[in-house]
Parts: sequence; C-alpha cells; structure tokens
Amino acid sequence: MKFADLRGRPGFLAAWACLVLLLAGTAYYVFGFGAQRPFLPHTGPGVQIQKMAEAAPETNSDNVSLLARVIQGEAGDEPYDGKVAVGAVLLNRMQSSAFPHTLPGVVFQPYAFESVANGLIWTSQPSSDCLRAAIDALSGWDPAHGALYFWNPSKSVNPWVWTRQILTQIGHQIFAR
Amino acid sequence: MKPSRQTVAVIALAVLWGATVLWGIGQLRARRQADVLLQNKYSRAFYETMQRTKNVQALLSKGLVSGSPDQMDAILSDLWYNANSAQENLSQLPVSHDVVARTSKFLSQVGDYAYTLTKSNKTRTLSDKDWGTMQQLYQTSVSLNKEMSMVEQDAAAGAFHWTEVQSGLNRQLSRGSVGSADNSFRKVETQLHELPVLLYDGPFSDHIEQMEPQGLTGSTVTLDQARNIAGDFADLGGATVQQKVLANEVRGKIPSYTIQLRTGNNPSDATTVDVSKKGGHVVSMLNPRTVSAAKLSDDQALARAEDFLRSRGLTGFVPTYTLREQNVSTISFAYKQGNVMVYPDQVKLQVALDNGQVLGYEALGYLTAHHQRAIAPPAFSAAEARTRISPRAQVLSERLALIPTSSKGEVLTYEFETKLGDDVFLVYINAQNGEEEQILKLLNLPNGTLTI
Repeated sequence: MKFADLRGRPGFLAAWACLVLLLAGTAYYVFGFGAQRPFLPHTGPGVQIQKMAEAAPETNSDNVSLLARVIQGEAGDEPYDGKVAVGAVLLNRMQSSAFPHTLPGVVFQPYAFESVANGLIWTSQPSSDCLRAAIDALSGWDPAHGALYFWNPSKSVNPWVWTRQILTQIGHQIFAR
Repeated sequence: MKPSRQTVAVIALAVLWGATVLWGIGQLRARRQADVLLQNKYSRAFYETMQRTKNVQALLSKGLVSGSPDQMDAILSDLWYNANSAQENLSQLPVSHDVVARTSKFLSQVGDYAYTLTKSNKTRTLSDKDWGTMQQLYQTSVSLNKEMSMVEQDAAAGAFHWTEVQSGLNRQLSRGSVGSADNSFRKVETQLHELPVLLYDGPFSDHIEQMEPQGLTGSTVTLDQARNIAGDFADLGGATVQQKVLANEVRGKIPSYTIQLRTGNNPSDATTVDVSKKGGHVVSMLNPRTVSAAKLSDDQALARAEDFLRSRGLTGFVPTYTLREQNVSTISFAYKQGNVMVYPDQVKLQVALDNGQVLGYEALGYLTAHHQRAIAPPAFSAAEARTRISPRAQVLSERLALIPTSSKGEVLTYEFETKLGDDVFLVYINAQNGEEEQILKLLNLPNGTLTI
C-alpha cells in the first residue's frame, strides 16, 4: 500500500493544520470552559443591608449582590435611574401573582433575563454604581413606577411584550406593566 | 535504521487524529451527560407541576365537602403548600412567560387565598361567600387540569424534549416565535382566559391592582410648573441648573413628568425628579453623584433630612429607621397623625455623608396611601395590650401605630419594642381586639438605627 506523498507542501500544511486545531481545541477546553465556570456566589465587597425581617416570604438581606449582578448585566450601560428601575422591576415581579415570589425565583426563571441566560452576570463583580442601585431599589425607589417588564426597542424582542401597558422609557429601555 | 520523514509525518498525523477523536468522544459524552442532567431537572419540575396541580383540584373539592373544622384546617394548609409548589415549579420550566402567566396567577391566588382563610377563619367552617369562591376556584382547577393533562400527553408522546425546547427557545427568543412546549402550554392559557376575579384579604387579591392613589391632592400642573417644582425641590448642593429637561412622561398609577435637572455635561450631573401631573407632588428624586468618604454622623444626617422635609413644606413626619450604606444614609420617615404612627404613609430620604446633600427622596408609598384618616379610638388600653405579649419578652417601649395588612388594608395597633436575649422585635397588638397582628424582627444593626 502506498501512501500519498506527504513530504510535499500540502502534507506539511495538513500536519500543521491538525496541530493548530488540536492546540486550539485544547486551549478552548482548558480556558474556554474555565471562563464560564465561576458559578461560585461571591459576596459583594462588604455590602450588607439591614432591614426589618418581614414574617414572610422573603428577607432582603442577602439579595443585594445578586440583584446588583442582574442590574449590571441588564443595565450596565444605562443611566443610574435606569439601573434602579431594572432592580425595581425584579422586586415588583416578586409582588406579582404571575411571577415567582422570591428573588432567586425571579432571577433564574428560564429566559426571563438575557444576561442570566448567557451567563454574563457571573463574568464580573458588580460595580459600586450597580450595588448602590440595588440598595436603592431594595429601599423602595422605583423610577419605573411599578413596571414588570423592560426591553430595549432597538433589539428584537418577543412581540407579546408590546401588548403590555408601557409606563415610561429610561435611557434605552422601555418599561411596561 | 533512521525512519523516513514520511513515516514520521504519518505517525504524527495518526496520533493527532487519534487524540482529536478521543477528545471529541469525551466532549460528546460530557454534553450528553449535561443534556440528561438538564432534561431530568426540567422533567422533575414539569411532573411536579402536574402532580401539585392535580392535588390542588382534589383539595379544593375536599374543602367544598368538609364539615369538620380540624379537617378544614389541614386541607387549607395543604392547599397553600401544593398551590405554592405548583407555581414555583411551573415558573422553572423553560417556556415563555406569556404562556404560563395566567396559570401562574391562578395558582398564586389559590395558595394565597387558602393561607388567608387559615389566618382569618377562626371557626374553620366556610362562610357562604367563601364556599362560593372555593367552588369557583374548583371549577377553574378542573378545566386547568383537563388542559394540563393534554400537555402531559404531549410530553409523554415525546412532542417536546426539554433541552431541545431550551436551545430552540434560545433562537426563538430573538425572533419571537414559539416552540412546541410553548404551543402546548398556550392552550392551557387560552382555557384560563376567564379567570375569576378574586377579592379577598391577601396580597395577590385582584383589588390591589385596582387601587387608586389617595394622596394626590390639588389640581393638574403644566409642564412648566412641573419644571419649576422640580428645580425648587431638589437639593443641588449649590450647583446651578443649566437645563430642566423633560426626560419622560410616566403613565403609571401616578401619571408624572420625569424632569432632569442638568448641572453639567456628565451623565452623573443629572438629578432626576418625578413630579405628579395631578397636584404637582414630587414622587421621587435621585441624584447619582459619587459620594466620597463619610464625614457626617448619623445624627447630623438625620438633622439634614429633617431640615430638608421642613423646608419643602412636608411636615408631620417622624423618623423610623436609618440605614448607612456606601457613604449614603437612607432614612425612613412615617407620618404621625395625632399620637398614631401611620406606617403606610412613608417617605424615604438619602443624605450624602460627605457633605450632607440630600441625594434622594421617595414618596410613591406616601402618595398612594396618604389621606386624613378617621382613626377610631382603641378599645384596648396599652396596659391591657401589654398583657398579650409573651411574658418571656422584655418590653422596651410602646406607642400607637397604624400598620398595613398584607392586602393593603390598615389596622390600628400598639407597637411594642421588645427584647428577647440579644434580639429586638417589634410586636404589634391589635388595639381593637387585642390580637397579635404582626411581629418584625430587627436584623443585625451595625449600620442601621431604629428610632423609636
């Protein structure tokens, strides 16, 4: 049996291509997955909120950091009141009968938030701006006046959201109920 | 013999190819494993939803037929637990929100309603009105289960595979089309179109959606008036306003103008003030400027906040709680009518601890609830109410307080600050019938101060 002549240019190119692919694959395996791994709940930089514990169903004490992460993921480039408004939407959802009644339930509802679905919220620590916005939202500030939905109209969204009552627009995002 | 270059190249290629194949197989296995894991997780939530929804129907029918108070108690708590669990599991399924929203609402209300009944129904037998409501809920649950069993059949027939549903949804999320599971669930939603309007004493009762704000006194203001109100209200720390921009018009419960006061060119140089169209009340204010290291004490911050309220003509407020966070002090105030603390009428202020500037103001709750109330005198004296408190707790102070119920009603109570060990509790005893209405526990307080 005779092999094709591998000493010529094509043979070496093929060998190099394989090597590069292998290295790239290994690198992806090692680093690519590594980057998506940090599902460890970091606690924010010394942030704690003290609040009166309601009897039920939820205390807000440990939620600042999680809320701040979602705010960063969903409204990191938005003005400050837009950040607070996104935080308020999550809290308003907890009070609504059509949504889960806990913050983790709301945050991790499948496909509720793009930045949670694609893992963006775990890629960096929330900025101090986002932490402050989370605290403001938990303290009761709601620039979106009771909104349950928000979206960026320049991106394509489920047409269903347009059937909601639009309350206001802050920065690039529309807020609706 | 020295191997030829050809042999070396062939062996190298073969090794590379082999390694790649092994790596690929490993990947495939890992992916399948992850797939099964996810599939199982979603299936668990799915079957749990189905089972719990069936339980809800069974328990509702038992409630209709039961004549025993003890049995009724057990049925109602079971109902609360099963409806909650069904709702929780339903909201974990990878389907679009709009196809489960109504089912979710129904389940929330059933659970909430059952909980309210266990709390309020002392005799544990249903009144005619409650029996009628339960009958209505039962009928809805029957049709819900009929539709749900169709979804279950679709699932059993392999019509949808959760992980495919999931990756499909990923793509559809942007396009807005629907997956197969979505289609199955959509039929359920259509069936629930005529959800009964439920009015009862709980947080998910339908009357809460319909509540109108009571604190909006006065006549409609124009945009120019609103600009001036915003400019006069905000504490800009000496900076001059360059522009008063109408950023938005809010069409919420309190229709408002969102005015931005620009004092510079940076995005953080804009203070946002919401002014209600009716009456020109300031609904909220937010100044996003960065705050440097704290120089003010809590008392100084409180004095600044009180000054601010007084100078804005907002009188009759008493501070209740202070929270110090990120060099900002957030202070809650409640309105005091006569000698009664009116907790539903709350405003909150934020004071920058570097220079005492008031950065934030929030009055959405106040404007929603505030009105001059006719408060009936208490039927119980404070001393009588005090006997209702556990003798193990030590009472530190007491006062009259009107507190909100979970359904946004109001009850007059005695508020007792009590201590048990190192823990501080606020215990609320109904001033008309002496019942314990609410207990609040104060969480660790290094950054917070309760003013009482």
